[in-house]
Amino acid sequence: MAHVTFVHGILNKAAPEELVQLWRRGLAEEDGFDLGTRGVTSSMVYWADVLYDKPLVESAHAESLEAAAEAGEVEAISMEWRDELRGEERELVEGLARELGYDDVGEQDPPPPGPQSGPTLERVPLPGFLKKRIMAHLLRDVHHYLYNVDFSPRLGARYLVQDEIRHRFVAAIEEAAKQPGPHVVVSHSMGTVIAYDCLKRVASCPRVDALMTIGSPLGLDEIQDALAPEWTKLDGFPGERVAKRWVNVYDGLDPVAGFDGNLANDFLKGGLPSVEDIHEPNWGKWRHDISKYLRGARLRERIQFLLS
Amino acid sequence: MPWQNPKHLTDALAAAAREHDQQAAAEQCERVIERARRDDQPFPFEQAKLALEILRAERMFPLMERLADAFLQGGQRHPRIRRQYAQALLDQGRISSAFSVLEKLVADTARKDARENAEARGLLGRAYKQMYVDGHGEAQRRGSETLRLAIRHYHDVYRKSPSDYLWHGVNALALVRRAERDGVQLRGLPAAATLGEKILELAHKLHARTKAGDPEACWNSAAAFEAALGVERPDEVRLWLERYLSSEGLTAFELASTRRQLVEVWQLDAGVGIGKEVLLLVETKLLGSRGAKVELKPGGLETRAASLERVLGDTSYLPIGWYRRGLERCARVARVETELDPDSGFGTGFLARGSDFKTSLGSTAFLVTNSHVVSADGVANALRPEQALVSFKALDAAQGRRFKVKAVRWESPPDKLDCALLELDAAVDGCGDSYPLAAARPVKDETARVYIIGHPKGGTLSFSLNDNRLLDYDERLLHYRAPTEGGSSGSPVFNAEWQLLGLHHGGGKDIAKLNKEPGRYAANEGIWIEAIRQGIR
Repeated sequence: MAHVTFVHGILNKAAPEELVQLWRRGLAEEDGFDLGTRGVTSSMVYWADVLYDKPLVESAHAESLEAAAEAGEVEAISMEWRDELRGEERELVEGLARELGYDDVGEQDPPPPGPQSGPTLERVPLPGFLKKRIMAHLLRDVHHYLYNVDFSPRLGARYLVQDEIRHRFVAAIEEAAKQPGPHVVVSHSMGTVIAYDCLKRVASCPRVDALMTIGSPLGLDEIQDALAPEWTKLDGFPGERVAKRWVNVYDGLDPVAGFDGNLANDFLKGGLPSVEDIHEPNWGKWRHDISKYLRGARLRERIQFLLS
Repeated sequence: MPWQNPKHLTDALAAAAREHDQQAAAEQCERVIERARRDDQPFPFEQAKLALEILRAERMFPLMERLADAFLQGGQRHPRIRRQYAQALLDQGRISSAFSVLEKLVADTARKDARENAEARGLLGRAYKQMYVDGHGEAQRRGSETLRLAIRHYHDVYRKSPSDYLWHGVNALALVRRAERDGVQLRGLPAAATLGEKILELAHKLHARTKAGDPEACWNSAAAFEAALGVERPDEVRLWLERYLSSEGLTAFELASTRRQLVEVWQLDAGVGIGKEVLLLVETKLLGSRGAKVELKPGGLETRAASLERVLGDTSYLPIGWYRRGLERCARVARVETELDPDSGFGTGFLARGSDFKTSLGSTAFLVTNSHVVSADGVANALRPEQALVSFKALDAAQGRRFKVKAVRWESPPDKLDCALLELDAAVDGCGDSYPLAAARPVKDETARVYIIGHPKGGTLSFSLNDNRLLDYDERLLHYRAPTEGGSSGSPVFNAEWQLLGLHHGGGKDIAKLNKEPGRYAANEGIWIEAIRQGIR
């Protein structure tokens, strides 16, 4: 039986069982395909509780940022940790902030006029405070993961962020590997960093048949540098544990993907391009939503192909 | 002996209702019925009332009747329980029995219990109303008088305390309008317009006093929407209908009652005037409710799908594209009949391309059904091929036409694959493409669903959109809880993407579980289409 392992992205999420249903429904609605109906099992590598206090309750907003923003569900987080960074950690975060345009956006900035968003964070048609909040989450989540920060999301819980999430990812892949397959990992946003990290750099992680990354920040230089030495431009493809294909889905105006989601040139396999980049237009004010990506015809076609 | 923890019954019933597990609900009720026969203490009133309310909301009327009867026999004779008993009778069309219960109840509660007396009179009005709209037997002969009696019962209750009995007033209004259309003379009643305006005025006042989640808000909106129909104000109809349909806790039973009232009393037509909007919205909402099923009449397929899309657009209660695909599947579904009784069905069948089963069968379309429906091998109680007639009720191009069975090309006995492949005497035109076959069976989890299109009880082609949980399967059989009735044998079983998953062949209350699981359960059973394909090869 085929299996899909999902890995979610930045920001807080609904409870695990609800989240996996939301992703499944996202693929199924509007003439899509239902994994369960096709006999494909699915699971979610859930890590929101490692960095967030408690799950979102209102599932309707859980994977739609625009709806969540309207409902005031993007919480503000403290960025004081950024001031204490030194050395390469500081370089990573400052570089990422620069590349994402985090410091160029003011809290009081109104949304830019006109319906078109352009290839900088300033042009994203959301109020400044919201853009700052979202990017703050991205910076924090990426940094805390890549540098294995000791973090307490709530009273009584403490995690080494990378160790904990790697453990969950590997456990999910081991569980899925008990089935005959094919086994496909479908990851989004920060989840693509986790999936890549585990499949490229964690020796105990079982092999999967295929990897799909969606709206990935893996194209950002700072993240690639943090994934070295295992990552190199000439041999960045995680062929050790991805048996067949890596399909990368992006929208050129997705801020989290740095407005350039193309990965093929940065993750070569023996010097040859091996990642299949698929341009899948997202839409609306925030072109990073997984709920919108999952409705894309090309994305759906590629998942079905990877499962076939 | 006093009843211990009667709340267990209502909790278990409510849990079964949430799962729409009719078998679990029935088992709970049977335990109580059995106990009530032996016990010398009446079942506690509050829990009895609640249990009957749950059954009614789930439209389990025969069980509701049996349980109410057991409560009454056990000494729990509260007027409310008697009224619920009468409701169960009425909802099954057992009007004469309901009359005798209600007339006694009206007499017993007069000057003692104004509320129950009014409600019982309202139900009497409903019984007369039903007799009038059904229009057969004695009621037909005394039609005008039956209608007057219905109106009198409703209006008498309403006029005593209009704001308390708005619902009775609306029924009086609907029937007064009906009397106008039918040319029935009435005396001693206000004009319909006056009655309607007053009800609308009251509804506005009550609406301002109720909160959105209150049950009263739902009933108030329903009353106001009908009153607006009665005074022909389309904008108010839309406003109140929207409020009504978005009410919390609105059940399939209530929606079905509304629909019946609109069709039978108001005589709205889904293709004409305000009926286009109102009926489609109510029916679409009904499809999204548990316990609902879709019925298709000849020639209505395209009109219905197109109208739904036009009216509902992208903001529908259901994904219209999905619903439309379900409707399209109906065109290839046939009723298997006999010459002796051509007006009712013997079973169901569906057209499938021969090569879907075996390459050498080519592109010819065969009718797939059960061998216990049609058999050339002499299966007991099955029709012989020469006895069988086949008609496609949802296929506009084949209306009025009955196909004959030319040959049975392949069959497997009921205890194996229970399948027969029938060659018809002529090609069936205009029925669309053969069904796509499901490449795999759904993952067994609580979200897995199946959908069956057939002719339950040999009647109208219909399918249920809800309560269709796939329970289990093995290499031959599928078990599911989809509602089916006799006559559905030979129906196609689809997965949630409307791909052909199996051939329905039966079911029962006491079926052995699959995969060596211990125990038995109530389930319907189909044959996995892949097992049939392998069998034919």
